Parts: sequence; C-alpha cells; structure tokens
Amino acid sequence: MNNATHLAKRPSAAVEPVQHRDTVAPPVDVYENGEELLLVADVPGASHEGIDVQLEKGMLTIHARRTEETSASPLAAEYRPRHYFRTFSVPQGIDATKIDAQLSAGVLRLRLAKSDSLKPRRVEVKQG
Amino acid sequence: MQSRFTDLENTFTLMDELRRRMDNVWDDFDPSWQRSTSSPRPFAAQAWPQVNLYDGGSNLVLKADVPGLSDKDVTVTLQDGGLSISGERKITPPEGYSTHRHERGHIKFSRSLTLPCKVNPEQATACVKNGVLTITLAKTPEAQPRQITVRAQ
Repeated sequence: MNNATHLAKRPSAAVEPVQHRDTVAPPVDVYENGEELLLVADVPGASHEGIDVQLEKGMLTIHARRTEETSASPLAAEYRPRHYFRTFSVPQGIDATKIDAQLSAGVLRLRLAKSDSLKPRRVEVKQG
Repeated sequence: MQSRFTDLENTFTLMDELRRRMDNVWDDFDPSWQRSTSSPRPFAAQAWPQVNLYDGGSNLVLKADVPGLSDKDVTVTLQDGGLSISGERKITPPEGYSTHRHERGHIKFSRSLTLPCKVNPEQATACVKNGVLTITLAKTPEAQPRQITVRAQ
C-alpha cells in the first residue's frame, strides 16, 4: 500500500477525536443593585476550565463548555449534553477589569461592578 | 467609518442571536419535541431532571443535570428495583437587588424509574459535580454479563 491510499483509508476517528455538540442558550437571571449587575446562569456540566467570559465592545459573551466525556451508547437518553453560549449588551460604565465570575454546583455567577458614573448619586438640597 | 463597521457587526450579532433563538423555540416551548434524533420515550422527556442511563458492564450509571442543587438538596432512594430522585431548588432574588430577568425557575421534583436489571443497594453511590448528578449502581452478580467459552467437540 503506498502512502496516499494509506492516508485515505485511515479510519477518520483515529485522526482527531472530535466531539460534536450542539449549543444552547442557558437560562439566566439578571439582578441589579446600586453597586453592580449580577448575572446568574445555569450551566450544568461545565467546569472552571470550560468557561470563557468576555466583555468586548459593550457585548458580554458567556461561553461554557461541557467537559465531561460521554460514555458510549446510553441505554436510555432523554437529553443530549450541550455547550452553552449567550451574549448580552451591557450598559457603558461597566468596569471590564472588575468582572468577577464564580462557578458553584453548575451555576455561574457574574458580578459586573458599576463605575462611579453609573452608580446612583444622592443630591443634597441646600437651603438658599 | 469606525462606527459604521460596529453597526454592521451588531446587526450580524443580532441576526445570529435571532437564528439561534428560532432554532430553540420549539425546545423551549415543549421539551418533549426534539430535533433530528428524537427521544425513544417522548413523554418521559417532560419530566425534570432529564436522565441518561448508561450501561457500564458491571454497573449502571445514571446522569442528570441538576444545576444549583448541592448534595444536600437531592434525595436518592432505591426500592424494589426502582430508583427515585427527589429534591427542590429554590430561587430567591438576592437581598437588595432588583430583578431584570427571571428565567431560572423554582423547581420541586420527584422522579421514579424502573431499572433494567437488579442492582446491589449496598454498593450504590451518588455524587453531584458541577451540577450533574451521577448515580452508580453495581449490578448483582446474576445481572452481570457472563462470557461463555465455546468449545470445539
């Protein structure tokens, strides 16, 4: 067998194991107080390494990958593991350097700290 | 020029988002409806949590997505060849925050499943990691696969 046919007949699975998974938008709760915006997203199956949060041009992008390996052929399957992806446009005045992300029990919590210009300010009324 | 380019990019982002939402609109409306590979048991898919069952040879492995639930919130019971999972997830808005969007629901659930073979209740283990519940059930010796050697005569 010459090299060309050998390459052509190689089983494709051996070349590079590729896991093909769909992507869904995870359910998200959004809360706000005077100091920050709080995003809570359900991303079961995603681990710390699989989560990518970016703020660019006013768009917050959440990308979470399921990292657990799939076992071969399930006896019964009601769901397919999927990756998660969602984008939000965020108001100007969110400090990109102060975004805090926490993952616990498959729930991602993002804290977006407001800069001073977005914080509510109380105006003192002076007696004239 | 800079702003025009950004506008164009925004439009495409919006279109992508719309396309993705349209792809999922039936999934969100009715979870029992699934694209392409439909579930073998369509009515079971409405239950929560949705469960995958794997055969590991000497054991059965059951997996379910339970985001936001810790080990204390889930109860797993084995009885008469059946398995029950129950629990509750409470979503309370954090103190002092106003709510903009509320998509994660309050869930109280209880599911019972019949297992395809006998299992040893003493050796069953359950753990929750990253919001995924994994229950490993050791099969009884009778239920384990046994290889029979073929002899020539």
